[in-house]
Amino acid sequence: MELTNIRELVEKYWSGETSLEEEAQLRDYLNQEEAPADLKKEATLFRYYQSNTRFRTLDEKFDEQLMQRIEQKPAKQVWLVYRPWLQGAAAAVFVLVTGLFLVTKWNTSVDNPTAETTAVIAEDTYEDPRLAYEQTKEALLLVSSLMNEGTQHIEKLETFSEAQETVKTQIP
Amino acid sequence: MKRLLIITIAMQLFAIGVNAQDNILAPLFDKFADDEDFTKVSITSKMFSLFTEFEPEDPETKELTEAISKLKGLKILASDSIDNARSHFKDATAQVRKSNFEELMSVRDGTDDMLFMIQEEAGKISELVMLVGGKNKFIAMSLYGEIDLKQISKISKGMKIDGMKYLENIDNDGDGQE
Repeated sequence: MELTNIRELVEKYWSGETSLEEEAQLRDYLNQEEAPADLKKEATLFRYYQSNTRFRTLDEKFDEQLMQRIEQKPAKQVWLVYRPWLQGAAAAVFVLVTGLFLVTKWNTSVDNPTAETTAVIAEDTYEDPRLAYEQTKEALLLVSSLMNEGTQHIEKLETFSEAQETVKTQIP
Repeated sequence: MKRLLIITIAMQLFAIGVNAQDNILAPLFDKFADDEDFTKVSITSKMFSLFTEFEPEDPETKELTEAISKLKGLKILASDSIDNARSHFKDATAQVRKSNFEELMSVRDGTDDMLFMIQEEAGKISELVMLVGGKNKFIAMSLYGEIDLKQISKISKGMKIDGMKYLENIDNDGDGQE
C-alpha cells in the first residue's frame, strides 16, 4: 500500500471519518511494516490494540456475567412476588373477619327466626300482648295528636295568610 | 391488592354502620338502661303479630289497627321528672340529625320542644322518630316499619284527643288515655 494513502487514512482516522474496512487496512499496514518515523505514534497505538484483545473481542466470561446480571433483577423481584402473597393473605383475613361479622349479625337479626324470637323475648318490655297493644295504641295516639298539633299551627298560618289575601284583594 | 384491602375495610365500616342504623334510639336505651327515672318501652314485630287476636274491629280503631299492622317495632324512652331534660333533648336531637334522618317538623309549644324526624327508604317512611323536650320532660320515641303519615294523623282525629294533655300523662304507664 502506498505510503501517501496510508497517511491520508491516518488523517481520516484522527478526524474520525474512517470506515471499519479502512481501519482494518491501517491496522494491517502498521502491524506488518516498519512504520515511517512520523507514523510511529499511530503504529504503537495500533499495535497496542492488536496485542490487547480486550478492545476488540468480548471476554469469554462476558456472556456469563451478562446473564448473571440479567438474572439478578428477577432474583430481587422474588420479594415483590412474595409481598402480594402476603397482602393477599391479609386481605383474606379481612374478608373472613367481615364475613364472620356479617354472618353473626345475619343470624341474630335478619334471617334466623328462632334467634329473632329469643332476641325479641329478651327485648320486649311487655309479655302480655294486651298491655303491649295498649301501649302501642297510646304511643301512636300521642304521635298522631302531637303531629296534628304541629300541623294545626300551619293550618292557622294558612287561614291567616288566606285572610291576608282577601284583605289585599278587597281593599284596592 | 391495596384496592381490595380498602374495599374490605369500607365493607366492614359499612357493616358496622348498618348495624348502628339498626335503631337510632338504641344508644339512648343503652345510656339510660339502669336509670329508674325513665320509662322504657320496647315492642317488636313479634308482639305486634299477637295483637290480631284481640284487636277490636270497630271502624273507629280501623286506622290504628292498620297502622299497627305495618309496624315492625316501637321504642319509647320517657321521663317527666329529670332535671337535665333539655340537654338530653339536645343530645338526642344532635344524634338523630347526624344520621340520615330528615326533619319532618319541629314545633315549640310553650316550653315544650317537639321534633319529628323521618327516614325514607324507596319512597316510604321506614322510621319515624319523635323527640319531645320540656323543662323536666324528655321523650324519645321511634316507630319503625312502614309508616303512613296520613294514616297516623287520622288516628287521633277519629278519637278527638288533645295531644298536649296527652303528653302530660305519658309517664303514667298506660293510664294516660282519656
